[in-house]
Amino acid sequence: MEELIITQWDGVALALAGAAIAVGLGGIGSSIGVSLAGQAGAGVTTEQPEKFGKVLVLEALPGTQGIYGFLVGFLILLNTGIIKGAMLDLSMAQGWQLLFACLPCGLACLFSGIYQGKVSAAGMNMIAKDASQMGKAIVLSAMVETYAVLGFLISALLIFFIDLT
Amino acid sequence: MALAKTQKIQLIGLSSKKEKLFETIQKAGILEIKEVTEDLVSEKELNKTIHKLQKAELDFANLEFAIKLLSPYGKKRSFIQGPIELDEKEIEERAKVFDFQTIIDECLKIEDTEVKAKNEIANANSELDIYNILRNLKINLENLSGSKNANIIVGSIPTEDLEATKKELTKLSDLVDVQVINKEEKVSQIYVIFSPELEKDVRATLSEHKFSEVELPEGTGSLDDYCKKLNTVIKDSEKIIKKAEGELKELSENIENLQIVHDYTLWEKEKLEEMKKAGSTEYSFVIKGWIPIANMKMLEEDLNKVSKELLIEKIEPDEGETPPVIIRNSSFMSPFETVTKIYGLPQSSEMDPTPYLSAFFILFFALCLTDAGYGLVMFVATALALKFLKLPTGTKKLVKLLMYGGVATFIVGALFGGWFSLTTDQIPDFLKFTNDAGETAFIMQKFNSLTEPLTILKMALALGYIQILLGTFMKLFHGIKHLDKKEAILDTGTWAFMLSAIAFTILAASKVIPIELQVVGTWWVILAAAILVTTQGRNQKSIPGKIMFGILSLYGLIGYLSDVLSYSRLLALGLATAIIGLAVNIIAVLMYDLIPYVGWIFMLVVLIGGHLFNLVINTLGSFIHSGRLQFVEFFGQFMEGGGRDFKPLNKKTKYTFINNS
Repeated sequence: MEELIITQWDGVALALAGAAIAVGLGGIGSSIGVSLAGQAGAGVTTEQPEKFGKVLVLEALPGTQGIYGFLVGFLILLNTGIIKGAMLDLSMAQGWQLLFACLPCGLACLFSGIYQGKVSAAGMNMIAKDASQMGKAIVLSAMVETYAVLGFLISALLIFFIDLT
Repeated sequence: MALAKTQKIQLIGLSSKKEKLFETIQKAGILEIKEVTEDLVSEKELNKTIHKLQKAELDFANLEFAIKLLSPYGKKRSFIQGPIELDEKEIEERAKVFDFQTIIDECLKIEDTEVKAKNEIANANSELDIYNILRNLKINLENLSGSKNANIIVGSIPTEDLEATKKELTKLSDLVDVQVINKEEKVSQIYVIFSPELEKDVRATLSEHKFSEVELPEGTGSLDDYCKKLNTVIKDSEKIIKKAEGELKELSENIENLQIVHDYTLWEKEKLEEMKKAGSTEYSFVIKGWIPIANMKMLEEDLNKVSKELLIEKIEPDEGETPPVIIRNSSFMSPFETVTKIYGLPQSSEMDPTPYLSAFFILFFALCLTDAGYGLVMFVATALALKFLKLPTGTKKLVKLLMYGGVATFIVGALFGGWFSLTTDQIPDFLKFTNDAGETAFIMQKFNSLTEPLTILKMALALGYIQILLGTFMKLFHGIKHLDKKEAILDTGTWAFMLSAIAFTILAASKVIPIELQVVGTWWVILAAAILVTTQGRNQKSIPGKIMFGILSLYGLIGYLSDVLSYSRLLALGLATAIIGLAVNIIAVLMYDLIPYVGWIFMLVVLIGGHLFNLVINTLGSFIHSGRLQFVEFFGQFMEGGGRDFKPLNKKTKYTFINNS
C-alpha cells in the first residue's frame, strides 16, 4: 500500500518536472534573447529616441518562446488537475510520458529564443539606418521563431493525446 | 488591380517657364524624374538652380535645428488633434509671410549662450572637484610659486604612508617642513616647504611614497576664496541658462509656423534637386522621367495650362534601365498593399501579389487569433481610430487592415467557439447548445481546437496546400501569357500537374470525392512523375545527365512538403492564444477565491490586463506569422521581388497634413 502511494506521487512529480523544464528553458531562452535585442535597442534609442516604438516591437519578438514554455507548463497543470485541486493519479509511465512531452518545446524554445534575439539585435541596425526597413527586420527575426512554434506544437499535441485515465 | 503600366517620357519646354512647370509637376506628383545624361548643360541655368538649392538646403537645416531646439518647450499637439491640417495654398502663403529667419537667428544666439554657460559650469565643477579638498590650505595662491629661499609642493599621498614620509623628509634637512592640509582614511593632502637646493631629494622621497602633485590655479588670495568664486560662476551661469530657457519657451510659440515653413522648404528643396537633373540650353530645357500611362493625359493638360510651348513624347528606356513599379488596387484591397510592401515590390515583369494574398492573409491572421471577443475589440478600436484620429496614409492603411482582421477574427473565432477563452460552463444557457457529438458548445461553434486539434491541423495544412497550388498556377499562367510559353509549361506546368494529381489522390483517400477515384489519382501521380523525370533534365547535354537530373527533380517534392508543413503554425498560434486566455481566466478566478472582500478588484485587473496583453502580443504574432506564410511559402512559388519603387516628385510633409478640400 505504501509503495503504491509513492509510485503515484512519482508520476505527478515527473509531470511537474516536465512543466518546470518547459517553463524554465523557454524562460531562459527568451530572457537571453530579449536582453540581447534590448541591449542593441538601447543603443538605437540613445541616438534616435523617436524610434523607441519600433525598437520595442523588435525586442519583444524573442519573448514568445518564454510564453510557449509557460503554455506547455500550464497545459500540464491543467491536464493533471493540479490547478483545479483534483489531482489525477498518475502512474510512473504516464509521468515519464508527460516529462518527455515537455522537452520538444523546452529545448526548441531555449535555443530559438537566444538565436532569435541575435537576429533581432542585428535587425536593430537596420532600423537605426532606415526605419522603413522595419518589416523586413521583423520577418528575418520571425524565421527563427518557426522552430519554437513547431516544438510547442508537438509538445501541446503530445500532452493533449497522452492518455491520463 | 495590378501593376500600373509605366512609360518613359521626355519633356521639352521653355527655360523661362521651367520653375512654374516643375511646380505643376510636383503638385501632380506622378512623374519620376531621371537624370538627363546627354551633355546639355547651360552653366548659367545650372548655377542659378544650384544657388537656389543651396539657400533652400541651408534654410531647411536651420529650420530642423530650430524645431528640434524648441520642441521640448512648445505645446505638443495631442494624439486626437492630429497634425496641422491645411490646404496647399495656405501652407504656401503662411510660409511666405512668416519671418522665420529672425527666429532662427535668435535660436542660434540663445543656443550659443546656453552652450557657453554649460561649459562654464562644467569647467568650474571639475576644478571644484580637485580644489574643494584643499580648501584648508592657509597659504595664499600668489605665494605658492615659491621664492628665492623656499619652494612649495602641494599634493595627495596615501594616508598609510603619511608618517613615514614626514619622518624621511624631515630627516633630509632642517630646511624641510611638511604640513597636513586634510587627512582622510585612505588619502591625505599635504604641502611641503623646502629650500630650493633640496628639490631633487624631496621629490625623490615623495615619489617613493606614491605622492601625486596637484597644480593649483594662478591668482591671488586664499584657495578658499578661489573656490567661492567658482561657486559664484556656477550660480551666474545657471541663471543665464534659466533665462535662455525662458526665452526659448517664448519662442516656442512659433513652433507651428516653423513646422509649416519646414514642410514648405522641403518641397522647395526637393523641387530644386529634381530641377538640377534637367538638361538645359540657353532658352529651353529637357527632362526625362517615368509616368503611369493612365496619368499622361492629365499631366499634359495641367502643363499646357502653364505653357503652350511644350513638347511631351514617349521615349525608349536606356539600356539596362528597369521601369519603376507601382501597384494599384481598389480602395477596399489597398490595405493589403501594406503586407506586400513589407516584403518589397514585385519586379516590373512580375504580377502584383496583393489581391491573391489578401484572402489568405486575413484568414490566416484570424486563425492565429481565433477569438471572437478579441476580434470584436479589435474591430471597435480600429474603427474608432479611423473615425476620430487623423492618421497619415501609411498608418491608415495598416489600421484598416487590422479592422479587416478584427472582422475575420470575429467570424473565425465564433466558428471555433472562442469568446475570451471562456468555457461553456461559464456562460448563460441561451448562448450555448448541445452539438451532434453530445458536447456543449457555444452558439455558432463548429470546431473545438482544444478537443480536436487534429481536425484543425488538417485544415491548416489543406489551406496551405491550396495556397501553394494557387501560387504554382499563377506562375504558370503568368508565364504563358507574358513570358516563354514552352518554358513555362515545361518548368511550372509539370509541377502544377503533379500537385493537382497529389491533391486529387488525397481528396479521394479522405473520401471527399468517391474513394473509387483513388486509383485514377494514383495513376495520375505516376504519370506526372514520369513527365517530370522526362522533362526536367532537358537542359543537360548527355543522355545519362538528362535521366539523372530528371529523377533528381522529384526531390522538389520535399520542398513542397516542407512548405505545406509550415502552415501547421496556424494551429500552434491559435492554441497559444486560447491557452493564454484560459490561463488568464483561471488566475483571475483564483484571485477572486483567494483574496477576501477585495478579490473582485484583483480579478478585474487580471482579466483586463491579461486579455489586453494576450490580444497585443498575439496580434503582433499573428500578423508576423501570417505575413511570413505569404512571403516565404506563397511568394516563393511565383515571384522574386526586388522591384524598384516609384518615386515621383511630389509634396511630402513631416508636420502638416495636406487637405485640399
